[in-house]
Amino acid sequence: MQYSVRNFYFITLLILSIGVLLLFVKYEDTIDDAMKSSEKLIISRVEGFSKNIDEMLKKEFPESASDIFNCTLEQIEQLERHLRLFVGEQYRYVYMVAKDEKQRWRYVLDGSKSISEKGEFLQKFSPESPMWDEVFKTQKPQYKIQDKSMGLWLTYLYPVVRDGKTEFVVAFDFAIKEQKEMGKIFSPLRDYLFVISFLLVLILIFSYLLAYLFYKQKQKSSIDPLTSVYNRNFLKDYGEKIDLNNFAIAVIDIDHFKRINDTHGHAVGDIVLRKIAQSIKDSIRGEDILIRHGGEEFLLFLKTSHSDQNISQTANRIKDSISKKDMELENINIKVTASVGVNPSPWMNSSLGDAIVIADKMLYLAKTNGRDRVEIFEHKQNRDVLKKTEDIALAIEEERLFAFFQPISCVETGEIVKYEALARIITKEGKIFYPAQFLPLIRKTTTYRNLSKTMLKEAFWAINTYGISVSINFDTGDFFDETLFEMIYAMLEENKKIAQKLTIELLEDREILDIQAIVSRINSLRELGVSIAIDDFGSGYSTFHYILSIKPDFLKIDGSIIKQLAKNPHAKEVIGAIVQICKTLKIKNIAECVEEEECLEVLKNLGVDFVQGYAIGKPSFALCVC
Amino acid sequence: MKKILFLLICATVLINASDIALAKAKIVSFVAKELVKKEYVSIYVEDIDYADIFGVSRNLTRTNSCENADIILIKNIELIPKTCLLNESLVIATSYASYKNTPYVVGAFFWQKGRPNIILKEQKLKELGIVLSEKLNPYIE
Repeated sequence: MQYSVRNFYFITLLILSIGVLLLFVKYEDTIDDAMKSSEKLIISRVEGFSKNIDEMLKKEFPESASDIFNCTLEQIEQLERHLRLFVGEQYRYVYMVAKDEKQRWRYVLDGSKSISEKGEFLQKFSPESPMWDEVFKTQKPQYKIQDKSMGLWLTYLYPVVRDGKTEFVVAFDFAIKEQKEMGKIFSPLRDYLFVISFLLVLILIFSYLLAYLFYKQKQKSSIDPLTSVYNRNFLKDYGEKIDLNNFAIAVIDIDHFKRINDTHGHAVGDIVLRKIAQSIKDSIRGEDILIRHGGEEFLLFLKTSHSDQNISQTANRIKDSISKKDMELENINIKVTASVGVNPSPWMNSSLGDAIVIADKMLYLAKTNGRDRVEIFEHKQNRDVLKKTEDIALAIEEERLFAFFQPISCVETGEIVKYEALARIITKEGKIFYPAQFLPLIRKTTTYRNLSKTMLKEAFWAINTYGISVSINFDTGDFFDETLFEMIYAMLEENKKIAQKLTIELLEDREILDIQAIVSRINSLRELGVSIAIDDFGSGYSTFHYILSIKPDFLKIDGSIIKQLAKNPHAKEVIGAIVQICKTLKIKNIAECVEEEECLEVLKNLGVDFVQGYAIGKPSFALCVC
Repeated sequence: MKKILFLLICATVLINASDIALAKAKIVSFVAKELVKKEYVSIYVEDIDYADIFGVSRNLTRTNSCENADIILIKNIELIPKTCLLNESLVIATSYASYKNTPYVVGAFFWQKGRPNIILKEQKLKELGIVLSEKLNPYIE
């Protein structure tokens, strides 16, 4: 990520450099043009002077200019005085030369003030370029920029022509000072250009320096000070830039870490975390990305140039390295294990969040299946199950989320006493998706809250419309979500009059460590008239501990036990025992997943209060209340 | 051809004009070798402005005795002993005024208006029996 910023600055610097260079080149071109224009101006002026000299010669020698060779030295001196008038800072030498009979150039007049520089009358003159002969021949004025070593800037030659014959060539040698004076006109511009360019480069360097310091600081804030691995800030800042095509995602969670903190203190817990982070780092490569995602949870982006089998090996190697890690701290030997959930192909998910959710789900599966294990998600088998979070959000928005109602009847009377509202998403193609297929993707998201809100609305609508009792499912973990709980509470308060017809069925998706917090919130809902049921009792995390803490109004015996009634004789005893406990605790019980008529009679004999299942009625969109 | 040669010298002189000594050395060497018909020419320099030509030309050697010199470069003839002027040494002036006013001189090298000038006196050359190659003809008068 920083490389891209560096590249950006490098390109900016390059563009600026090219820009400045072009500016100078353009400036030089402009100066050249301006100098040429100035030269033309100067040349037109000196051409005027040359014509004056020509006129003077015509006046002095009206018959033939060659008469000058018959002049006395005094007369020559007189004529040279005219030329001397032009000599100064601008024109260093002004003189007139002619060719003798042997075609050698000789001085005729010279306005030079210095004796050593003055060519004497008829002194041989050695021209430095063929231009002299060309002017003589073509009879057209010419000028030439001289080499600086001559101490001259420019030489202008003007032919004095009489009757079609070139008699003389008048020469003006410009002082180099003249050129310098012209250059001085533009030098402030050049200076400004230099200053502006320098400031621009300086600004760029400073901004680069600032950006470098900013990113250095940002990088520092992305490192977890305890474990020295990346923290959530890194994920927040750069997570979306990670190319999921190149990585597998693993979520590593230390088993029972809370116990380590509670038993040995947070200082020991911190050391354990540090050692585990180091252990993971030792098991991965430099191109993998390790992030401390939560308290004892690490998120690992594994570079996937390797196959699923290698990912599995890496994940297991990490798990094993943690369990084998020597955790002897101050004579305390701590046994640490970790559970790992892996999403081997996050590119199949619509977003990084979705991909992490899958890995997280696998982590919970690893926890459920006994911890200290690796669970890897198999995308191929679950292709239909997984849908994008955006699709689910869209389904809610387009009102394709429906509450299907399944009847619950009284065993004694056979009368339907309530309905369980079950969420279903129907695709545009008409395919129905069940909660297990979409809830894991959206849990703890706004979409999940919207879904809960819609389901509650549907339940209240059914109660209001048909006067029936309805039960609705919530995960106990939902009550830790402040926003979601406040929303549920507000909706119940709003429908307080009919709230007594609503039952909240609590599902246990994971172990609840702080049960008292849940009880407190459940009691506050109960005060609004809502009944509470514990769902799926007898499987997963639903334990007697919950019954004693939550004191539910209903207990739903898990369908996996009911389904065994026909084939497992002990199932009957287990159901009978649960029913007995319920009667003792004055809790109504419900047997779910009752699919056969024969079971009804058995359940009736066992004293079951209510039954739910295909034998009574399938979940249906259309409520038929008789 | 002669013109081209001269222009070449001039161009060389101008190109390397920053090193005036080199330019002077090239001109002196060019003409001196023709005048004395030697590869290595010993020169007595009276004009201090030409003292720097020896450091840059292999063909020119300086002598402190004007009697033994092949060529004497002078600015002021008065400073040269008469004995030197009467022997076989060739006297070359470094200004047009010296060239014009001194009967002993065979020629002149000098800078005027930023341009190098070479002048060789035809009559003196004949007196001394010096026959120059054609490439020096443009400078003879």
